[in-house]
Amino acid sequence: MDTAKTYDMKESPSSKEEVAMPEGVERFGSRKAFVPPVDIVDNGKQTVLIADMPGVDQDSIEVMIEKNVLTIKGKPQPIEFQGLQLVYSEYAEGDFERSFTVTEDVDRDNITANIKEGVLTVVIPKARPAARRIAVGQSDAG
Amino acid sequence: MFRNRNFGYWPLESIGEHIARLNNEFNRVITRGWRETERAFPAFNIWSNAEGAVLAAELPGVKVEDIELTVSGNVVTIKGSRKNLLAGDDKYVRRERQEGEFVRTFELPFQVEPAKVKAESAKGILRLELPRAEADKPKRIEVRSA
Repeated sequence: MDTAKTYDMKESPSSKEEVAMPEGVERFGSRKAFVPPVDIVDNGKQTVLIADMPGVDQDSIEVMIEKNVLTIKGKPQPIEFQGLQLVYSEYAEGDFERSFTVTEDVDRDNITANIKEGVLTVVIPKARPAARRIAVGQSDAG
Repeated sequence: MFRNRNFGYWPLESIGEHIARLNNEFNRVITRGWRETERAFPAFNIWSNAEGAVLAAELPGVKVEDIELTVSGNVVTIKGSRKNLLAGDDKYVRRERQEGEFVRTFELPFQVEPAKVKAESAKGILRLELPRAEADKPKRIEVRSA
């Protein structure tokens, strides 16, 4: 029997790790979300976060810092080929999502991010440990 | 084996199974720096029709110039490496991204036209277009009654 079986990428034995949801919570929408693998590099002056997000570009990436949580989100365009059928699948397509807690000594205003060839680089400078001296006034005259 | 089982119709299921089976036999990863060797790297998705196949792989950070592509008959080999370079004072706090050399070989159920193979990469996704050789395509033979 030569019945053409249709492959669904959602069923593919993905090499990617899915975003865990809290118990009882389900993902809204049909797309899967994956945890992008990251390298974190530190050189004392800055921390650099490097994330693999294939298919994501400048228009489909979001980097946010709220309080002390840094979140990266990517929504790549699904790939389709006109007139071709998926016959073999090792990876599923989906969004990327991951959050990190950053320490207090981060210079939040000067975080920069760049994406190239599907690799996101976020540079997080450390705040100068400028122990600000607080001038103490004297109010009792005499 | 299943070539020309049906004239003009290429059984897609067989292509998928064929590739999956051969992939298990052929595919190997040179393990250097891989932490999870059981995972094929890079991961491939394959689309096909009677005219050929398109292979796509997630290869963030790897340029198409750094890929070595070999096509011989119906066998396609993709070779390359990914190195994550660090500057002088940089130290890893966390290291999850795969690096090292890789080789993946796929045997397709049709002969590839080597001159028409296209390779390109965009946004960290490598795309290979492998058209089926003209001589390999099934031809319809007109049957006339005597």
